[in-house]
Amino acid sequence: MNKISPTCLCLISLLVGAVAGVMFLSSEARAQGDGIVVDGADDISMIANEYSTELANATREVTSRVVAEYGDFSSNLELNKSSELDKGASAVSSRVAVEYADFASACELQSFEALPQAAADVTSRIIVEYADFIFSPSLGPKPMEDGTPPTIGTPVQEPSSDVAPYQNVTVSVNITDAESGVKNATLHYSLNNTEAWTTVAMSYNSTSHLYYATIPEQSEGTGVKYKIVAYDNAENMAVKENDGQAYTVIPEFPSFLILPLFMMATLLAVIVYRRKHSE
Amino acid sequence: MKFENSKMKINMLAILIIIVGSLGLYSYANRGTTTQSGETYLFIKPAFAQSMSTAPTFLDEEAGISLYVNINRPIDLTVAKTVYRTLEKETLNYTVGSIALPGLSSNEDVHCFVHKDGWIVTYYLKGEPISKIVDWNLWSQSTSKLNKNKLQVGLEQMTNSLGVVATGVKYYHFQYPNSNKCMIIIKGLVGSGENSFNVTIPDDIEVDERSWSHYSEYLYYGYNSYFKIDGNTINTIAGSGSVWNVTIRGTLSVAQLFPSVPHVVGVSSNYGASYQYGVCLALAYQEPL
Repeated sequence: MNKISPTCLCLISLLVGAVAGVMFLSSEARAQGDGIVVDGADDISMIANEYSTELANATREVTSRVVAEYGDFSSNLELNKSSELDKGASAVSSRVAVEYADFASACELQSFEALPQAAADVTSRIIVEYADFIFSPSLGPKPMEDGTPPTIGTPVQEPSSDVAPYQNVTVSVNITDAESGVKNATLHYSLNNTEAWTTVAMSYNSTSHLYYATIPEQSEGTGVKYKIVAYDNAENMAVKENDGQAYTVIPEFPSFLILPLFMMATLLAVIVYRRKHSE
Repeated sequence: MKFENSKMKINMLAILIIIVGSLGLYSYANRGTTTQSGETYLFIKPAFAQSMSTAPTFLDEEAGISLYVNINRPIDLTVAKTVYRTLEKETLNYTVGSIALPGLSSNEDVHCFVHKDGWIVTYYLKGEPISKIVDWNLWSQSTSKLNKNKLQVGLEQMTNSLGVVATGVKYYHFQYPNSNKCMIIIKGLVGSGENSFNVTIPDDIEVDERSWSHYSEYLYYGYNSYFKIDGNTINTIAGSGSVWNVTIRGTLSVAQLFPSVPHVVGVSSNYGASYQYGVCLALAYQEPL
Protein backbone atom coordinates (compact mmCIF):
# COMPACT_ATOMS: atom_id res chain seq x y z
CA MET A 1 0.00 0.00 0.00
CA ASN A 2 2.90 2.27 0.97
CA LYS A 3 4.71 1.44 -2.38
CA ILE A 4 1.66 2.19 -4.45
CA SER A 5 0.90 5.46 -2.77
CA PRO A 6 4.00 7.44 -3.92
CA THR A 7 3.63 6.11 -7.46
CA CYS A 8 0.02 7.07 -7.58
CA LEU A 9 0.80 10.45 -6.17
CA CYS A 10 3.42 11.04 -8.92
CA LEU A 11 1.04 9.98 -11.66
CA ILE A 12 -1.73 12.12 -10.29
CA SER A 13 0.56 15.13 -9.96
CA LEU A 14 1.83 14.60 -13.52
CA LEU A 15 -1.70 14.33 -14.79
CA VAL A 16 -2.81 17.39 -12.93
CA GLY A 17 0.29 19.27 -14.12
CA ALA A 18 -0.35 18.29 -17.73
CA VAL A 19 -3.98 19.35 -17.56
CA ALA A 20 -2.98 22.63 -15.94
CA GLY A 21 -0.29 23.23 -18.60
CA VAL A 22 -2.70 22.66 -21.47
CA MET A 23 -5.22 24.95 -19.95
CA PHE A 24 -2.51 27.61 -19.47
CA LEU A 25 -1.35 27.46 -23.07
CA SER A 26 -4.81 27.60 -24.49
CA SER A 27 -5.55 30.58 -22.31
CA GLU A 28 -2.36 32.29 -23.66
CA ALA A 29 -3.39 31.72 -27.24
CA ARG A 30 -6.75 33.14 -26.71
CA ALA A 31 -5.07 36.07 -24.98
CA GLN A 32 -3.56 37.03 -28.38
CA GLY A 33 -7.03 37.63 -29.66
CA ASP A 34 -8.13 36.50 -33.12
CA GLY A 35 -4.67 37.07 -34.60
CA ILE A 36 -2.24 34.73 -36.29
CA VAL A 37 -1.61 31.47 -34.54
CA VAL A 38 2.08 30.60 -34.51
CA ASP A 39 3.17 27.22 -33.45
CA GLY A 40 6.66 26.09 -32.85
CA ALA A 41 8.25 29.47 -33.39
CA ASP A 42 11.62 30.12 -31.84
CA ASP A 43 10.61 33.58 -30.96
CA ILE A 44 7.48 35.57 -31.25
CA SER A 45 7.48 39.28 -31.07
CA MET A 46 4.21 40.96 -30.66
CA ILE A 47 3.89 44.52 -31.85
CA ALA A 48 0.96 46.60 -30.86
CA ASN A 49 -1.07 47.45 -33.93
CA GLU A 50 -2.66 50.38 -32.47
CA TYR A 51 -3.26 53.36 -34.70
CA SER A 52 -1.46 56.51 -33.77
CA THR A 53 -1.87 60.02 -35.13
CA GLU A 54 1.89 60.49 -35.31
CA LEU A 55 2.27 57.45 -37.46
CA ALA A 56 -0.43 58.60 -39.79
CA ASN A 57 1.29 61.95 -40.23
CA ALA A 58 4.63 60.31 -40.82
CA THR A 59 3.32 57.89 -43.45
CA ARG A 60 1.75 60.70 -45.41
CA GLU A 61 5.23 62.03 -46.21
CA VAL A 62 6.53 58.69 -47.33
CA THR A 63 5.95 57.91 -51.03
CA SER A 64 5.59 54.42 -52.30
CA ARG A 65 8.79 52.66 -53.18
CA VAL A 66 9.69 49.32 -54.60
CA VAL A 67 11.48 47.47 -51.90
CA ALA A 68 14.21 45.21 -53.13
CA GLU A 69 15.65 42.68 -50.85
CA TYR A 70 18.56 40.39 -51.33
CA GLY A 71 19.23 41.70 -54.87
CA ASP A 72 22.73 41.58 -56.23
CA PHE A 73 22.11 44.79 -58.11
CA SER A 74 19.42 47.36 -57.89
CA SER A 75 18.92 50.36 -60.06
CA ASN A 76 16.16 52.81 -59.44
CA LEU A 77 14.87 54.86 -62.35
CA GLU A 78 12.88 57.96 -61.84
CA LEU A 79 9.49 57.23 -63.35
CA ASN A 80 7.96 60.57 -62.75
CA LYS A 81 6.29 61.86 -65.90
CA SER A 82 7.87 64.96 -67.35
CA SER A 83 6.67 67.40 -70.00
CA GLU A 84 9.59 66.37 -72.20
CA LEU A 85 8.43 62.80 -72.01
CA ASP A 86 4.95 63.89 -73.04
CA LYS A 87 6.39 65.48 -76.17
CA GLY A 88 8.55 62.49 -76.86
CA ALA A 89 5.63 60.11 -76.47
CA SER A 90 3.43 62.16 -78.73
CA ALA A 91 6.08 62.00 -81.45
CA VAL A 92 6.21 58.23 -81.28
CA SER A 93 3.57 56.58 -83.48
CA SER A 94 2.38 53.04 -83.20
CA ARG A 95 4.70 50.40 -84.51
CA VAL A 96 4.31 46.78 -85.35
CA ALA A 97 6.33 44.85 -82.80
CA VAL A 98 8.34 42.01 -84.28
CA GLU A 99 10.00 39.46 -82.06
CA TYR A 100 12.19 36.52 -82.85
CA ALA A 101 12.05 37.13 -86.61
CA ASP A 102 15.00 36.00 -88.70
CA PHE A 103 14.49 38.89 -91.09
CA ALA A 104 12.27 41.94 -91.21
CA SER A 105 12.23 44.59 -93.92
CA ALA A 106 10.01 47.61 -93.59
CA CYS A 107 9.23 49.66 -96.68
CA GLU A 108 7.88 53.17 -96.54
CA LEU A 109 4.35 53.01 -97.91
CA GLN A 110 3.31 56.55 -97.29
CA SER A 111 1.84 58.29 -100.30
CA PHE A 112 3.20 61.46 -101.75
CA GLU A 113 1.39 64.14 -103.65
CA ALA A 114 2.39 63.00 -107.11
CA LEU A 115 1.28 59.42 -106.54
CA PRO A 116 -2.49 59.93 -106.93
CA GLN A 117 -1.85 61.79 -110.16
CA ALA A 118 0.52 59.11 -111.37
CA ALA A 119 -2.00 56.43 -110.45
CA ALA A 120 -4.70 58.26 -112.37
CA ASP A 121 -2.49 58.19 -115.42
CA VAL A 122 -2.16 54.42 -115.37
CA THR A 123 -4.50 52.87 -117.86
CA SER A 124 -6.02 49.44 -117.76
CA ARG A 125 -4.08 46.56 -119.21
CA ILE A 126 -4.92 43.00 -120.01
CA ILE A 127 -3.10 40.84 -117.50
CA VAL A 128 -1.54 37.65 -118.79
CA GLU A 129 0.34 35.18 -116.63
CA TYR A 130 2.34 32.06 -117.47
CA ALA A 131 1.99 32.44 -121.24
CA ASP A 132 4.82 31.14 -123.40
CA PHE A 133 4.55 33.95 -125.92
CA ILE A 134 2.78 37.29 -126.16
CA PHE A 135 2.70 39.50 -129.23
CA SER A 136 0.83 42.76 -128.85
CA PRO A 137 1.10 45.14 -131.79
CA SER A 138 -0.77 48.41 -132.09
CA LEU A 139 -3.45 48.59 -134.74
CA GLY A 140 -3.58 51.53 -137.07
CA PRO A 141 -3.58 53.97 -138.63
CA LYS A 142 -5.71 52.91 -141.51
CA PRO A 143 -3.62 52.44 -144.62
CA MET A 144 -4.21 54.64 -147.64
CA GLU A 145 -6.26 57.05 -145.61
CA ASP A 146 -6.57 60.73 -146.45
CA GLY A 147 -3.50 62.42 -145.09
CA THR A 148 -3.83 65.57 -147.18
CA PRO A 149 -5.47 68.66 -145.70
CA PRO A 150 -7.99 70.73 -147.64
CA THR A 151 -6.88 73.37 -150.14
CA ILE A 152 -8.00 76.90 -149.31
CA GLY A 153 -8.13 79.40 -152.17
CA THR A 154 -7.65 83.15 -151.97
CA PRO A 155 -10.42 84.77 -149.95
CA VAL A 156 -12.48 87.51 -151.56
CA GLN A 157 -14.11 90.14 -149.39
CA GLU A 158 -17.09 92.32 -150.20
CA PRO A 159 -16.79 95.26 -150.21
CA SER A 160 -13.29 94.78 -151.45
CA SER A 161 -12.28 98.25 -150.30
CA ASP A 162 -13.62 101.33 -148.59
CA VAL A 163 -15.31 99.52 -145.79
CA ALA A 164 -17.46 102.12 -144.14
CA PRO A 165 -18.28 102.23 -140.45
CA TYR A 166 -21.06 99.85 -139.44
CA GLN A 167 -20.90 97.99 -142.70
CA ASN A 168 -20.77 94.18 -142.78
CA VAL A 169 -17.99 92.50 -144.72
CA THR A 170 -18.67 89.22 -146.48
CA VAL A 171 -15.75 86.88 -147.12
CA SER A 172 -16.02 84.09 -149.67
CA VAL A 173 -13.44 81.45 -150.43
CA ASN A 174 -13.05 78.26 -152.43
CA ILE A 175 -12.10 75.26 -150.26
CA THR A 176 -11.63 71.78 -151.71
CA ASP A 177 -10.49 68.36 -150.53
CA ALA A 178 -10.20 65.72 -153.20
CA GLU A 179 -10.00 62.72 -150.84
CA SER A 180 -12.32 62.71 -147.84
CA GLY A 181 -13.98 66.04 -148.59
CA VAL A 182 -14.31 69.26 -146.61
CA LYS A 183 -15.87 68.75 -143.21
CA ASN A 184 -16.15 72.38 -142.10
CA ALA A 185 -14.62 75.82 -142.42
CA THR A 186 -14.45 78.73 -140.02
CA LEU A 187 -13.40 82.33 -140.35
CA HIS A 188 -11.47 83.82 -137.43
CA TYR A 189 -11.11 87.57 -137.13
CA SER A 190 -9.46 89.89 -134.64
CA LEU A 191 -9.80 93.62 -134.13
CA ASN A 192 -7.01 96.18 -133.95
CA ASN A 193 -4.25 93.61 -134.21
CA THR A 194 -5.06 91.85 -130.94
CA GLU A 195 -4.79 88.13 -130.39
CA ALA A 196 -8.43 87.81 -129.37
CA TRP A 197 -9.94 85.87 -132.25
CA THR A 198 -13.64 85.64 -132.89
CA THR A 199 -14.86 82.58 -134.78
CA VAL A 200 -17.57 82.61 -137.41
CA ALA A 201 -18.72 79.37 -139.06
CA MET A 202 -18.55 79.51 -142.84
CA SER A 203 -21.52 78.26 -144.82
CA TYR A 204 -21.23 76.39 -148.08
CA ASN A 205 -23.15 77.54 -151.13
CA SER A 206 -23.73 74.61 -153.44
CA THR A 207 -24.39 76.92 -156.39
CA SER A 208 -21.24 78.97 -156.22
CA HIS A 209 -19.26 76.16 -154.53
CA LEU A 210 -17.83 78.74 -152.19
CA TYR A 211 -17.77 79.08 -148.42
CA TYR A 212 -19.13 82.31 -146.97
CA ALA A 213 -18.84 84.16 -143.66
CA THR A 214 -19.74 87.68 -142.59
CA ILE A 215 -17.61 89.87 -140.41
CA PRO A 216 -19.99 92.16 -138.51
CA GLU A 217 -19.88 95.92 -138.78
CA GLN A 218 -17.16 97.80 -136.96
CA SER A 219 -16.67 101.40 -135.94
CA GLU A 220 -14.51 103.88 -137.81
CA GLY A 221 -10.77 103.23 -137.71
CA THR A 222 -11.07 99.64 -136.57
CA GLY A 223 -8.43 97.38 -138.07
CA VAL A 224 -9.75 93.94 -138.93
CA LYS A 225 -7.60 90.94 -139.82
CA TYR A 226 -8.90 87.49 -140.50
CA LYS A 227 -7.87 83.94 -141.32
CA ILE A 228 -9.69 80.83 -142.49
CA VAL A 229 -9.43 77.33 -140.98
CA ALA A 230 -10.79 74.25 -142.73
CA TYR A 231 -10.99 70.56 -141.78
CA ASP A 232 -11.55 67.58 -144.00
CA ASN A 233 -13.41 64.42 -142.98
CA ALA A 234 -10.15 62.80 -142.00
CA GLU A 235 -9.62 65.66 -139.55
CA ASN A 236 -6.75 67.15 -141.49
CA MET A 237 -6.63 70.88 -140.93
CA ALA A 238 -5.56 73.69 -143.24
CA VAL A 239 -5.19 77.34 -142.26
CA LYS A 240 -5.18 80.28 -144.61
CA GLU A 241 -3.19 82.34 -142.15
CA ASN A 242 -2.88 86.01 -142.67
CA ASP A 243 -1.65 88.93 -141.05
CA GLY A 244 -2.36 89.68 -144.63
CA GLN A 245 -6.08 89.54 -145.25
CA ALA A 246 -7.07 92.72 -143.46
CA TYR A 247 -8.84 96.01 -143.85
CA THR A 248 -9.43 99.18 -141.91
CA VAL A 249 -12.80 100.80 -141.57
CA ILE A 250 -12.57 104.25 -143.12
CA PRO A 251 -14.45 107.44 -142.02
CA GLU A 252 -17.91 107.87 -143.44
CA PHE A 253 -16.88 111.16 -145.14
CA PRO A 254 -13.38 110.30 -146.30
CA SER A 255 -10.55 112.77 -145.88
CA PHE A 256 -9.36 112.14 -149.41
CA LEU A 257 -12.39 114.09 -150.60
CA ILE A 258 -11.78 116.99 -148.22
CA LEU A 259 -8.28 117.57 -149.47
CA PRO A 260 -9.09 117.91 -153.19
CA LEU A 261 -12.20 119.91 -152.41
CA PHE A 262 -10.15 122.26 -150.34
CA MET A 263 -7.58 122.48 -153.15
CA MET A 264 -10.23 123.09 -155.75
CA ALA A 265 -11.81 125.78 -153.63
CA THR A 266 -8.46 127.46 -153.14
CA LEU A 267 -7.73 127.28 -156.84
CA LEU A 268 -11.14 128.70 -157.63
CA ALA A 269 -10.67 131.53 -155.18
CA VAL A 270 -7.28 132.38 -156.66
CA ILE A 271 -8.70 132.41 -160.19
CA VAL A 272 -11.60 134.64 -159.22
CA TYR A 273 -9.33 136.93 -157.32
CA ARG A 274 -6.89 137.24 -160.20
CA ARG A 275 -9.62 137.85 -162.73
CA LYS A 276 -11.05 140.58 -160.62
CA HIS A 277 -7.69 142.22 -160.29
CA SER A 278 -6.86 141.81 -163.99
CA GLU A 279 -10.11 143.52 -164.94
CA MET B 1 3.50 141.31 -169.54
CA LYS B 2 2.40 141.54 -165.98
CA PHE B 3 -0.91 139.96 -166.91
CA GLU B 4 0.80 137.10 -168.76
CA ASN B 5 3.08 136.52 -165.82
CA SER B 6 0.11 136.32 -163.46
CA LYS B 7 -1.73 133.93 -165.76
CA MET B 8 1.29 131.68 -165.90
CA LYS B 9 1.49 131.67 -162.14
CA ILE B 10 -2.17 130.71 -161.89
CA ASN B 11 -1.69 127.88 -164.32
CA MET B 12 1.38 126.64 -162.47
CA LEU B 13 -0.55 126.78 -159.21
CA ALA B 14 -3.47 124.89 -160.72
CA ILE B 15 -1.17 122.18 -162.09
CA LEU B 16 0.56 121.91 -158.73
CA ILE B 17 -2.77 121.55 -156.94
CA ILE B 18 -3.91 118.88 -159.37
CA ILE B 19 -0.65 116.91 -159.00
CA VAL B 20 -0.72 117.11 -155.22
CA GLY B 21 -4.41 116.23 -155.19
CA SER B 22 -3.84 113.25 -157.45
CA LEU B 23 -1.00 112.01 -155.28
CA GLY B 24 -3.17 112.39 -152.22
CA LEU B 25 -6.01 110.52 -153.84
CA TYR B 26 -3.71 107.74 -154.99
CA SER B 27 -2.05 107.30 -151.65
CA TYR B 28 -5.37 107.32 -149.82
CA ALA B 29 -6.91 104.86 -152.21
CA ASN B 30 -4.09 102.47 -151.43
CA ARG B 31 -4.47 102.99 -147.71
CA GLY B 32 -8.13 102.21 -147.29
CA THR B 33 -7.98 98.45 -147.82
CA THR B 34 -4.76 96.55 -147.55
CA THR B 35 -4.76 93.12 -149.05
CA GLN B 36 -1.75 90.91 -148.88
CA SER B 37 -1.40 87.36 -149.94
CA GLY B 38 -1.34 85.01 -146.93
CA GLU B 39 0.41 81.72 -146.38
CA THR B 40 -1.31 78.40 -146.04
CA TYR B 41 -0.14 76.25 -143.16
CA LEU B 42 -1.03 72.62 -143.37
CA PHE B 43 -1.62 70.70 -140.19
CA ILE B 44 -1.78 67.02 -140.80
CA LYS B 45 -3.54 65.30 -137.97
CA PRO B 46 -1.81 62.47 -136.10
CA ALA B 47 -1.71 59.40 -138.24
CA PHE B 48 -3.75 57.30 -135.86
CA ALA B 49 -6.70 59.69 -136.05
CA GLN B 50 -7.05 59.23 -139.78
CA SER B 51 -10.08 57.05 -139.68
CA MET B 52 -12.97 59.11 -140.92
CA SER B 53 -12.85 58.60 -144.64
CA THR B 54 -16.41 58.62 -145.89
CA ALA B 55 -16.24 56.47 -148.99
CA PRO B 56 -15.49 52.80 -148.27
CA THR B 57 -12.47 51.56 -150.14
CA PHE B 58 -11.84 48.14 -151.60
CA LEU B 59 -10.00 47.15 -148.46
CA ASP B 60 -12.80 48.45 -146.23
CA GLU B 61 -15.12 45.98 -147.80
CA GLU B 62 -12.68 43.13 -148.26
CA ALA B 63 -10.13 42.97 -145.48
CA GLY B 64 -9.93 42.06 -141.83
CA ILE B 65 -6.62 41.82 -139.98
CA SER B 66 -3.93 43.43 -142.12
CA LEU B 67 -0.26 44.21 -142.20
CA TYR B 68 0.85 47.09 -144.39
CA VAL B 69 3.69 49.30 -145.41
CA ASN B 70 4.29 52.18 -147.79
CA ILE B 71 7.67 51.80 -149.44
CA ASN B 72 7.54 55.46 -150.55
CA ARG B 73 8.29 54.78 -154.16
CA PRO B 74 6.24 53.72 -157.18
CA ILE B 75 5.64 49.99 -157.58
CA ASP B 76 5.71 48.15 -160.90
CA LEU B 77 2.45 46.23 -160.71
CA THR B 78 3.59 43.74 -163.32
CA VAL B 79 6.30 42.60 -160.91
CA ALA B 80 3.82 42.40 -158.06
CA LYS B 81 1.58 40.14 -160.11
CA THR B 82 4.31 37.53 -160.40
CA VAL B 83 4.15 36.89 -156.66
CA TYR B 84 0.51 35.88 -156.60
CA ARG B 85 -0.68 32.33 -156.66
CA THR B 86 -3.98 33.74 -157.90
CA LEU B 87 -4.59 37.22 -159.30
CA GLU B 88 -7.89 38.30 -157.81
CA LYS B 89 -8.29 41.88 -159.01
CA GLU B 90 -6.42 44.27 -161.24
CA THR B 91 -6.93 47.97 -161.95
CA LEU B 92 -4.69 50.68 -163.32
CA ASN B 93 -3.77 51.69 -159.80
CA TYR B 94 -3.56 48.43 -157.89
CA THR B 95 -3.60 44.66 -157.99
CA VAL B 96 -4.94 42.12 -155.52
CA GLY B 97 -3.97 38.48 -155.30
CA SER B 98 -3.32 35.58 -152.97
CA ILE B 99 0.16 34.57 -151.90
CA ALA B 100 0.98 30.94 -151.14
CA LEU B 101 2.73 30.30 -147.84
CA PRO B 102 5.43 27.63 -147.48
CA GLY B 103 4.08 24.29 -146.29
CA LEU B 104 0.49 25.44 -146.09
CA SER B 105 -2.56 24.76 -148.21
CA SER B 106 -4.27 27.37 -150.36
CA ASN B 107 -6.82 27.87 -147.58
CA GLU B 108 -4.07 29.53 -145.63
CA ASP B 109 -2.98 31.90 -148.42
CA VAL B 110 -2.73 35.54 -147.45
CA HIS B 111 -4.26 38.16 -149.67
CA CYS B 112 -2.13 40.99 -150.90
CA PHE B 113 -3.06 44.45 -152.16
CA VAL B 114 -0.35 46.37 -154.03
CA HIS B 115 -0.87 50.00 -155.09
CA LYS B 116 1.32 51.71 -157.66
CA ASP B 117 1.92 54.56 -155.19
CA GLY B 118 3.92 52.27 -152.91
CA TRP B 119 1.33 50.68 -150.65
CA ILE B 120 1.53 46.95 -149.89
CA VAL B 121 -1.13 45.39 -147.68
CA THR B 122 -1.26 41.70 -146.75
CA TYR B 123 -4.46 40.65 -145.06
CA TYR B 124 -6.99 37.99 -144.26
CA LEU B 125 -10.57 38.46 -145.27
CA LYS B 126 -13.08 40.09 -143.00
CA GLY B 127 -14.82 37.49 -140.87
CA GLU B 128 -11.68 35.41 -140.57
CA PRO B 129 -10.30 35.30 -137.03
CA ILE B 130 -7.16 37.18 -136.14
CA SER B 131 -5.78 33.91 -134.77
CA LYS B 132 -5.43 32.75 -138.38
CA ILE B 133 -2.21 34.75 -138.71
CA VAL B 134 -0.49 32.24 -136.39
CA ASP B 135 1.44 29.62 -138.35
CA TRP B 136 2.15 26.78 -135.92
CA ASN B 137 4.93 25.58 -138.23
CA LEU B 138 6.78 28.73 -137.20
CA TRP B 139 6.18 28.17 -133.49
CA SER B 140 9.20 27.01 -131.56
CA GLN B 141 8.37 25.41 -128.24
CA SER B 142 12.03 25.26 -127.27
CA THR B 143 12.46 29.01 -127.56
CA SER B 144 8.82 29.86 -126.81
CA LYS B 145 8.76 32.13 -129.80
CA LEU B 146 6.63 32.63 -132.86
CA ASN B 147 9.28 33.60 -135.35
CA LYS B 148 6.91 35.21 -137.86
CA ASN B 149 3.23 35.26 -138.62
CA LYS B 150 1.59 34.55 -141.97
CA LEU B 151 1.01 38.21 -142.82
CA GLN B 152 4.70 38.89 -142.28
CA VAL B 153 5.68 35.97 -144.47
CA GLY B 154 3.38 37.15 -147.27
CA LEU B 155 4.60 40.73 -147.05
CA GLU B 156 8.17 39.56 -147.08
CA GLN B 157 7.59 37.55 -150.24
CA MET B 158 6.18 40.62 -151.97
CA THR B 159 8.89 43.06 -150.87
CA ASN B 160 11.60 40.56 -151.74
CA SER B 161 10.20 40.26 -155.26
CA LEU B 162 9.99 44.05 -155.57
CA GLY B 163 13.55 44.39 -154.32
CA VAL B 164 12.67 46.60 -151.38
CA VAL B 165 12.99 46.33 -147.63
CA ALA B 166 9.83 46.97 -145.68
CA THR B 167 10.38 49.31 -142.76
CA GLY B 168 7.73 50.75 -140.53
CA VAL B 169 5.15 48.04 -141.09
CA LYS B 170 1.88 48.46 -139.22
CA TYR B 171 -1.15 46.36 -138.37
CA TYR B 172 -4.74 47.38 -138.92
CA HIS B 173 -8.10 45.69 -138.72
CA PHE B 174 -10.53 47.06 -141.27
CA GLN B 175 -13.58 45.70 -139.44
CA TYR B 176 -12.57 47.13 -136.08
CA PRO B 177 -11.52 50.70 -136.84
CA ASN B 178 -11.79 51.60 -133.16
CA SER B 179 -9.48 48.83 -132.02
CA ASN B 180 -6.04 50.21 -131.36
CA LYS B 181 -4.40 47.09 -130.00
CA CYS B 182 -4.09 43.43 -130.78
CA MET B 183 -2.75 40.69 -128.53
CA ILE B 184 -1.64 37.20 -129.47
CA ILE B 185 -1.03 34.87 -126.51
CA ILE B 186 0.39 31.39 -126.99
CA LYS B 187 0.85 28.47 -124.64
CA GLY B 188 2.55 25.34 -125.87
CA LEU B 189 2.83 21.78 -124.63
CA VAL B 190 5.17 18.92 -125.47
CA GLY B 191 3.90 15.39 -124.83
CA SER B 192 1.12 14.51 -122.46
CA GLY B 193 -0.08 16.73 -119.66
CA GLU B 194 -1.58 20.15 -119.44
CA ASN B 195 -0.22 23.67 -119.69
CA SER B 196 -2.15 26.85 -119.12
CA PHE B 197 -1.91 30.59 -118.81
CA ASN B 198 -4.08 33.10 -116.98
CA VAL B 199 -5.69 36.09 -118.58
CA THR B 200 -7.72 38.89 -117.04
CA ILE B 201 -9.40 41.54 -119.17
CA PRO B 202 -10.30 44.76 -117.34
CA ASP B 203 -13.92 45.75 -117.76
CA ASP B 204 -13.03 49.17 -119.14
CA ILE B 205 -11.31 47.63 -122.14
CA GLU B 206 -13.67 47.06 -125.03
CA VAL B 207 -12.78 43.86 -126.84
CA ASP B 208 -13.85 43.62 -130.46
CA GLU B 209 -12.66 40.08 -131.08
CA ARG B 210 -11.68 37.06 -129.01
CA SER B 211 -10.46 34.33 -131.31
CA TRP B 212 -8.41 31.21 -130.75
CA SER B 213 -6.29 28.63 -132.51
CA HIS B 214 -5.75 25.08 -131.22
CA TYR B 215 -2.90 23.04 -132.66
CA SER B 216 -1.91 19.41 -132.51
CA GLU B 217 1.24 18.15 -134.21
CA TYR B 218 0.31 14.48 -133.98
CA LEU B 219 -2.27 12.27 -132.32
CA TYR B 220 -2.80 8.57 -132.63
CA TYR B 221 -6.14 6.80 -132.55
CA GLY B 222 -7.83 7.12 -129.19
CA TYR B 223 -5.79 10.07 -127.98
CA ASN B 224 -7.00 13.63 -127.75
CA SER B 225 -5.85 17.17 -127.27
CA TYR B 226 -8.09 19.62 -125.48
CA PHE B 227 -8.35 23.37 -125.40
CA LYS B 228 -10.12 24.50 -122.24
CA ILE B 229 -11.06 27.73 -120.56
CA ASP B 230 -11.70 27.55 -116.83
CA GLY B 231 -12.00 23.80 -117.14
CA ASN B 232 -14.64 23.97 -119.85
CA THR B 233 -13.66 22.28 -123.09
CA ILE B 234 -13.75 24.72 -125.98
CA ASN B 235 -12.26 22.40 -128.58
CA THR B 236 -11.10 18.82 -128.88
CA ILE B 237 -8.74 17.46 -131.50
CA ALA B 238 -9.27 13.73 -131.61
CA GLY B 239 -6.75 11.23 -132.90
CA SER B 240 -8.99 9.28 -135.22
CA GLY B 241 -6.14 7.41 -136.82
CA SER B 242 -2.77 9.05 -137.33
CA VAL B 243 -3.52 12.76 -137.41
CA TRP B 244 -0.78 15.19 -138.29
CA ASN B 245 -0.66 18.99 -138.00
CA VAL B 246 -4.22 19.87 -137.21
CA THR B 247 -5.15 23.49 -136.51
CA ILE B 248 -8.67 24.43 -135.48
CA ARG B 249 -9.76 28.06 -135.09
CA GLY B 250 -12.77 29.81 -133.68
CA THR B 251 -14.03 32.75 -131.69
CA LEU B 252 -15.15 33.12 -128.09
CA SER B 253 -18.18 34.86 -126.68
CA VAL B 254 -18.06 37.56 -124.03
CA ALA B 255 -19.38 35.06 -121.50
CA GLN B 256 -16.54 32.67 -122.19
CA LEU B 257 -13.98 35.34 -121.51
CA PHE B 258 -15.89 37.57 -119.16
CA PRO B 259 -14.07 40.75 -118.10
CA SER B 260 -12.55 41.38 -114.69
CA VAL B 261 -12.34 37.66 -113.95
CA PRO B 262 -9.08 35.71 -114.20
CA HIS B 263 -9.47 32.92 -116.74
CA VAL B 264 -7.33 29.83 -117.06
CA VAL B 265 -6.67 29.00 -120.70
CA GLY B 266 -5.18 25.58 -121.09
CA VAL B 267 -4.03 23.04 -123.65
CA SER B 268 -3.67 19.38 -122.81
CA SER B 269 -2.92 16.05 -124.43
CA ASN B 270 -3.02 12.47 -123.26
CA TYR B 271 -0.65 11.21 -125.92
CA GLY B 272 2.66 10.36 -124.35
CA ALA B 273 5.08 10.92 -127.23
CA SER B 274 6.96 14.21 -127.53
CA TYR B 275 4.77 15.98 -130.05
CA GLN B 276 3.79 19.62 -129.81
CA TYR B 277 0.40 21.01 -128.95
CA GLY B 278 -0.58 24.59 -128.49
CA VAL B 279 -3.30 27.09 -127.94
CA CYS B 280 -3.39 30.70 -129.08
CA LEU B 281 -5.74 33.42 -127.90
CA ALA B 282 -6.04 36.52 -130.10
CA LEU B 283 -7.70 39.72 -128.94
CA ALA B 284 -8.49 42.96 -130.76
CA TYR B 285 -9.45 45.70 -128.36
CA GLN B 286 -9.62 49.36 -127.58
CA GLU B 287 -7.00 50.16 -125.04
CA PRO B 288 -7.62 53.46 -123.24
CA LEU B 289 -5.14 56.03 -124.50
